[in-house]
Amino acid sequence: MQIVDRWLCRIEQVAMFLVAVALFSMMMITVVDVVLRYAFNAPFSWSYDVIGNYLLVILFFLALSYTLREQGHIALDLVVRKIASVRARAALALIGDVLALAFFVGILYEGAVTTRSDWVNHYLLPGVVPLPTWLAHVFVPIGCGIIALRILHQLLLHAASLATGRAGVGVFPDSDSAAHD
Amino acid sequence: MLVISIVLLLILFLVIGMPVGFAIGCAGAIGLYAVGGIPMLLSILNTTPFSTAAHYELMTIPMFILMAEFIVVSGVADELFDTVNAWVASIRGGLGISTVITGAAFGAVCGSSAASAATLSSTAIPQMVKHGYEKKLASGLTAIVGTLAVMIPPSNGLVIYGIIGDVDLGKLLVAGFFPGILGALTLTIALRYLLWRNPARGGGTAANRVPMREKMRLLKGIWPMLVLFILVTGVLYLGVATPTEAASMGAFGAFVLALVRRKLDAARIYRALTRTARTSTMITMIIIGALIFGYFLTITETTQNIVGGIGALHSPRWVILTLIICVYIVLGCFLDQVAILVLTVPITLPIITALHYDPVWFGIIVTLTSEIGLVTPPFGLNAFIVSKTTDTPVEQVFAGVTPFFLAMAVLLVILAAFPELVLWIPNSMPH
Repeated sequence: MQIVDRWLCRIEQVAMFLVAVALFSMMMITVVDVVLRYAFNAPFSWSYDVIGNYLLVILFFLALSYTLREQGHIALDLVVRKIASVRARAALALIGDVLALAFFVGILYEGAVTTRSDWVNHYLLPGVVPLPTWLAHVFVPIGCGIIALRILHQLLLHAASLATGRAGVGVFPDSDSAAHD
Repeated sequence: MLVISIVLLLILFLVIGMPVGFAIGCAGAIGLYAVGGIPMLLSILNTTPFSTAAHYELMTIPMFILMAEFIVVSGVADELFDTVNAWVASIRGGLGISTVITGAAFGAVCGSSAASAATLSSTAIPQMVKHGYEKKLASGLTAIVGTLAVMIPPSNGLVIYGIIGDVDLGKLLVAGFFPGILGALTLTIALRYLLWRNPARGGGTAANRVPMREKMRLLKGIWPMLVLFILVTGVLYLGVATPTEAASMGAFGAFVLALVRRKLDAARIYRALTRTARTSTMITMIIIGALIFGYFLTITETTQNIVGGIGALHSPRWVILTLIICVYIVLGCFLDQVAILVLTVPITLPIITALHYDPVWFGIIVTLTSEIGLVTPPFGLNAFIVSKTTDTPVEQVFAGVTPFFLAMAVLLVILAAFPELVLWIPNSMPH
């Protein structure tokens, strides 16, 4: 299981590098765009399309799994933390895992279908620069695929914890990092 | 019946500790499946997550968060408390008043109430306690001062309200400024009152009078914050840039500031970016989940029934407004602000506009209730942050907050009764 976790972490690391690049780029593109508009009356024609359809999509979908791992998705764990029995907590966590897994697999499936149809039909953005739409939609199945694997990993740990009655490392949310900013 | 079961299911998912965004999304998805089967569910799952993530104006949110990250790294706010304190030190209750002003000034460049509360907890509370303030009072004050950042632009709560309710973002953000200042004033008055009623609770001043030259020197250290404030709020007021652009320039300004102050290296920039991505992804996930749930409410005609039902009441409009505000305060005790906004604004805003209230003003009212929600038990996030950073039992923080909470409730009534107090600045905008 630790090998799986290590591989997932590596994938998430690559994804987060792309996310950081996307985030920094959208800031720079927008600032340069404003400067060009006021100084030279010649803004980029493509910034709106590129930021909306690509950079923001990368930001959300590729950061999904990392955010889950870092417990960045806030949860109300006050009640669960009061439960002393490891088995009971594992059982409740399992319910959440199964639901979340089904949810993201659903989005993954739909994202894959859309990406494929974009690819086959050579759909282009209606904007000034005709960019392919599959290149935007493809991040939906990629991001959901990573988080689905992350949830599956979590699910197996919870199942093991339910079977053995022992809490393994990283099985339950660490209450200290629950606060977000 | 179906709607009630799904709402109960949502509460169950939240209680078993599912992340808020997942819980709302899954409950909504189950509801959609119950109404329209797999085809309806899949068509929503096809469009909503992508179109929400790809919503251009939502970029304002990561930019505001990034701005806050860079400001914290730059350390420019570290000297803020000392600077303010040097100017008001000789007034009775000076340290407490400094805390309030610092919180408001921090809020003017940083939209994160959590960052504000954490920064103030580590700087202001030790100073106050050292100079004889009761710890309960000091921690309660700090917890609620942190929430001023929610209202004073940059403010992500207002951005989400504006996007969901299709209200002018620039006007909304500018509108948050004056009520934020009124909030600071309210807390100052409440503090002075408490210290006057019971001088034993504190009020000592930090030091002797600070010489004028030292005051000016300290002031020089914080001028970049003023520039950043103008870069965002000033630009929005003048309408020379869109909110998205103003937010990006704010983030860029904070980035340059941290760079000039030699507080940035590649690792720190990367850390600021990933932390921003984490928070912004969490927010987007909640928005997506709540939108899916919202479709379920719309398809089952729940939204329309609630709006129509309230319209048919024929009660005076202030009664309905009071009811809505009470619902927001109760929800704020239990649910995250983003989720509350996305779930309720599609229902409440049509009611409010039908009653001829102003949507910008209503956004400020809702934001004030969410400020209050950050310090009320059982889930008041800011109270927990102060409790953790200062090692004070959270019950004590909640107790210390109570009088300030009541003062903010009075402000809420005043703003609800006099919309002009909120609207005079946005209505004077050149565009």
